[in-house]
Amino acid sequence: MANSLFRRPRITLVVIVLVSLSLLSVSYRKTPPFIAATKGYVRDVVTPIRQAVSSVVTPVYDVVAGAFEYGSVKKQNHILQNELALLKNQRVSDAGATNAMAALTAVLHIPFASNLKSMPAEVISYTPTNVQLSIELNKGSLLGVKVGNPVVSADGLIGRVVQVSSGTSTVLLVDDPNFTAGVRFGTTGQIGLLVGQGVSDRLAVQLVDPGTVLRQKQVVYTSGMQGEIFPPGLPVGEVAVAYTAPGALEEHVELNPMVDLSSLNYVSVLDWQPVSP
Amino acid sequence: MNRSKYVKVPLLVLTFAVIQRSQLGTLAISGIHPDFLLAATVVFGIIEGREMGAVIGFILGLLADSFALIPFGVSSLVYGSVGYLAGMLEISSLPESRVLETVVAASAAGAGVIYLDGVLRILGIHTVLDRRLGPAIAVTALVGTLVSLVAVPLFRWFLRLGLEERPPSRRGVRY
Repeated sequence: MANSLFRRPRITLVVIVLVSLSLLSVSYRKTPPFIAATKGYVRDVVTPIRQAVSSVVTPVYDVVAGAFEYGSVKKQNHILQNELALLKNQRVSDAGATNAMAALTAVLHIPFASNLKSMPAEVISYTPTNVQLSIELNKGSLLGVKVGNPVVSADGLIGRVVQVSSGTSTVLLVDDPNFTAGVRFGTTGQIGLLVGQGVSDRLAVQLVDPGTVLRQKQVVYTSGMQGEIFPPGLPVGEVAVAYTAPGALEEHVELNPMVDLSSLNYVSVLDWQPVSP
Repeated sequence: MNRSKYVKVPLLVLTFAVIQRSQLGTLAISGIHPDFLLAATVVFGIIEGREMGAVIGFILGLLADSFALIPFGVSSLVYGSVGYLAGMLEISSLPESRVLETVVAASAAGAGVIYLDGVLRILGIHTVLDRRLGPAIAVTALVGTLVSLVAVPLFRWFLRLGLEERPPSRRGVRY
């Protein structure tokens, strides 16, 4: 057994389980600085390699995505062909650049956060894991992005920065099951707790008094109450469903997010941080 | 482990980390991303046996944890155990067969998702898996199957590359 670490593989397994449990218990409540730094280094090493191989991987991705989404791709193809016919009649010199410019201009003029400094950032990827719904931005701590910064688009709240390395940052999206935020319904004083429900599901609002009158498409904003993790007045979603189930102690409220979280290109990172208690 | 493996194995690990972080990793089937790191863990377990399966699974788990917000150590615990589980094929008395390896790959990958969800639930961490465990098991098992079909022969060839002698089969090893 010259190639073995231990005489019995079972001992290796026990050691690995013990090391994993030790790491887990150390980082369960709060990630220690050395682990956060290690995570940042790993991301900084892998991200450039990934960008370099994207030209190789993209055709494979297209084939696989096309195979799994054949129906929607076909439908989308039909719509796009119609759009193309319309566009051919327009003299657009550089549609891509114009669209990118429009998206960037939009994130530079956030109407609901005009009193806060903001920084535009590009979404470089959706985090490829099933344990969280997040995106990665091309701006990191070197450019002043900090953990806790809210991230918005011209339409509303997208999420908040939860991890930062020198060149990139990770944003937890509003639809992640671990995402929570205090919200207020329109101009009324009614408040609630927004909770993400997972991909392609609506957002839920908990702790709303039963019998509260809510209109369809009523816009819901961050409450910004004392100790909140977001500044007040960021649009989060529109009321889609609201009713009180018989015997329920709270109103059942579901929102449609203001932002289409499946197609993000440019976002704005707000220079705001929650006040420590 | 022969010396060239000290270079080849990290290279394969890095390749899978990059694939997971590439566009292929962001591909969503029924809202579930393919887990290439878990699939690679299973493949290493099948080829290299319990011990190396557990060690490489642990390392791949640490990489997975580096990209996620869950506590450090969760994925390494799960992947390490799954690598060991897949490596148990080496002590089975069943004959060597690609079909058997594929079935083991699919089962171990599916079991890995259930194990991961269980650990996260015990820790009180809500994830997408809470609501989509069924599709997650199906997608991960499918990815494990597809990856094993390609990677098992490819890894075997790559790990033997440059060796004068063909290493003995690991099947039937009992210790």
